[in-house]
Amino acid sequence: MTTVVRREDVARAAADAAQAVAGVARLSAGSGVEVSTPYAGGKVVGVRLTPTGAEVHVVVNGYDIGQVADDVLTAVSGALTAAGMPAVVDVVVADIESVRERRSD
Amino acid sequence: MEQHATTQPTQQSTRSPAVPETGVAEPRRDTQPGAALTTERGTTRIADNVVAKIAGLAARDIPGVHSMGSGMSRRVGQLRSMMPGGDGSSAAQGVAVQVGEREAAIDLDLVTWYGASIVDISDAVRRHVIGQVEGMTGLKVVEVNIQVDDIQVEADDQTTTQRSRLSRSGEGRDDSEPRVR
Repeated sequence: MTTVVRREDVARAAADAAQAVAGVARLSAGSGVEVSTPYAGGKVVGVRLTPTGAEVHVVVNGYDIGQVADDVLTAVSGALTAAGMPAVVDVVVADIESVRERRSD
Repeated sequence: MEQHATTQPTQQSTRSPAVPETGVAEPRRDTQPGAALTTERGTTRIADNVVAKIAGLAARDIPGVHSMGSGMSRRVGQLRSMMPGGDGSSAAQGVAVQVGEREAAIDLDLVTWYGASIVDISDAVRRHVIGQVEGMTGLKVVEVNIQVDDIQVEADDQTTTQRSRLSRSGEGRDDSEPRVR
């Protein structure tokens, strides 16, 4: 039988995976057209599912942006593979937050 | 020459197995949505309006959809909903359907929000509409055509001015107000 994977579940799994990476402050909706996966009753912001995988926009607060982006890529593509989806991931670092800035908040 | 004569029949024989394969693929569709409505003991007919309502409600579930219908029908729909006794049956507004015995085709007129991706929204709408209609009616949805008639900017007044500015710039600068004096 075929198993039906709901897109919102995949998008949310990808968002959770990215959020859990050390150095990721939060996901971003992007500066222009909102990056989101709409579904019936809501949307997952920061993740856009594409035919080949996903696009993830993150705000980074770590020192090594490249390393954090790489970790996000690995985490999200792992989540997509686990859901049986194509797993070509584009990571966009939308903004950075310095650790100092975060402590003052 | 003799080689040609021998290769041609083998080519035909390699092609011929492909025909039964497509023949096998077709009966599989009978287990898909659409087959359960026509049985040996009678048929189930589903009215156009039923499919239209389901499709309309399903499309409105997607957050990027502001409203439905082309400009005129939206205005008429607003008036109708204001009238006493209006039953709010405008669920099918902006939806046109063709329903057959086992298949349905759906055309939608949408208004989306400014700032949201029309590609993402129409993709989500198409998936959800197909899922809901096939799930509720058992009809197979062969296509969902989406027309985006307008986009809604958060402040209502800005929509008209921006739209007129856009149309003017398309026609040429001469008719528009001078930007710089």
